[in-house]
Amino acid sequence: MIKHNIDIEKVQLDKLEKLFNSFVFLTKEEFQLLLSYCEVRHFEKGDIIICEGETEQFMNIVLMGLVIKYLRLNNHSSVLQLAVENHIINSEISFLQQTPSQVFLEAIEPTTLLSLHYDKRQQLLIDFSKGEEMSRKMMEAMYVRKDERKNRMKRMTIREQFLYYIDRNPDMLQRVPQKYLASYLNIKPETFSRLKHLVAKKAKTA
Amino acid sequence: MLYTNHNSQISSVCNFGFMKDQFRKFVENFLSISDADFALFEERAFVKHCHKNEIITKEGEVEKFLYFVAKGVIQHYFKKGKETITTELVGEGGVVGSASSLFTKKPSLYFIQALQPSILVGISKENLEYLYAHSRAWQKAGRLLMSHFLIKQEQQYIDVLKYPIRERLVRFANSNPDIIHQIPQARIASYLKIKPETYTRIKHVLTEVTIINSQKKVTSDKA
Repeated sequence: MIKHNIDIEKVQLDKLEKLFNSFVFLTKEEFQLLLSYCEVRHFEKGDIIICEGETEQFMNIVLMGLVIKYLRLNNHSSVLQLAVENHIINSEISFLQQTPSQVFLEAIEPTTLLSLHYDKRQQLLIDFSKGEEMSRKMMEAMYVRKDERKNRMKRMTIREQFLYYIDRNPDMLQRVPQKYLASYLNIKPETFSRLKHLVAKKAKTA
Repeated sequence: MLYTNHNSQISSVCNFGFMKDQFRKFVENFLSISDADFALFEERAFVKHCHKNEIITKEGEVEKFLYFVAKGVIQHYFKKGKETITTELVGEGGVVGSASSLFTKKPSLYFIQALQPSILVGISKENLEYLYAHSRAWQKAGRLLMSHFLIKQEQQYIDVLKYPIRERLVRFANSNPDIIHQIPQARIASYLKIKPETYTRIKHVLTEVTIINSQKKVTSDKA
């Protein structure tokens, strides 16, 4: 039985196993093997996980906490992704090409990540027979998620996008600072405040 | 070796071979493929000729194939009321197909249409999975290609946020010099998220870019 140094609660471990199995069926042993290549990283609230210009060395799954990925532009930042428990997040272009990151990753809450280092990933792809399939399937899932979001952003009105997101992620309204949520949904802060009251009204009349 | 005219209506084995060889060149940017492995692909792929404006995949239907563009220009689009919104413009050497639909088996979010007479090398999802199951090389190629498209997707998203309108048009023209004049202006404007009025105002940069690119070509041909 492969031993790994991963110190995570059983609940998190079970969620992880389920997540991995959603990509490729893994035996218990194979799951343990995968974990043995990973490491756990802790971040305080406000920690920059990766800077623009740095080369991303890790692929991460959020075990606990909240991470934002954003692009720093001339006079503002644009949030590209909000990641909570069981979400995959990293600076993927930087990671896959090993070029400087164009984005920042920042912990908005105290955060624990399950991380796979680039070198370990290369090794895993050689050592593990299901490695290529796992990697491809994870990337397919990431591609789909972004494609569907892009499509929504083009098809739906601002209001529809807001309601779509809040319906599926009701706790994010409380959890994520308004400026980040507004940026992620591509909504102006004033509009966002107005829409927030819509939701509160809905809740009251419900 | 002599090949028949690409526009010929006679589909000869030579023609098919040439198109598939183009695909092989594309894949070998990522890793080398043995003759045996490529034969595995050849026997499961097909060549599809599309006439101008032919719809290849309909919005709402489940995508069954992925296609390599051997020749022509393809767009992905959907309709928002009366408006046609172009989300992808792909020329020779690119890949088209409603990938999200293919991976999830959910209905396609897009139409896929040939903007010019086009020739595609296609493969079904089942055959793709057969290749992955029976060839380590194709398994790896699948991963590398997926990385490539994930990078492209993310970069497109970042570019829209990062670069001003005029620069986006110039960058597009520089990366697609051969097809820029084969695509209706409304489609380019839509794809680059430029309002039609704005596009009309700035489209002269395309002429400048074309002149620069053709001058570059002349210099490199001479070298």
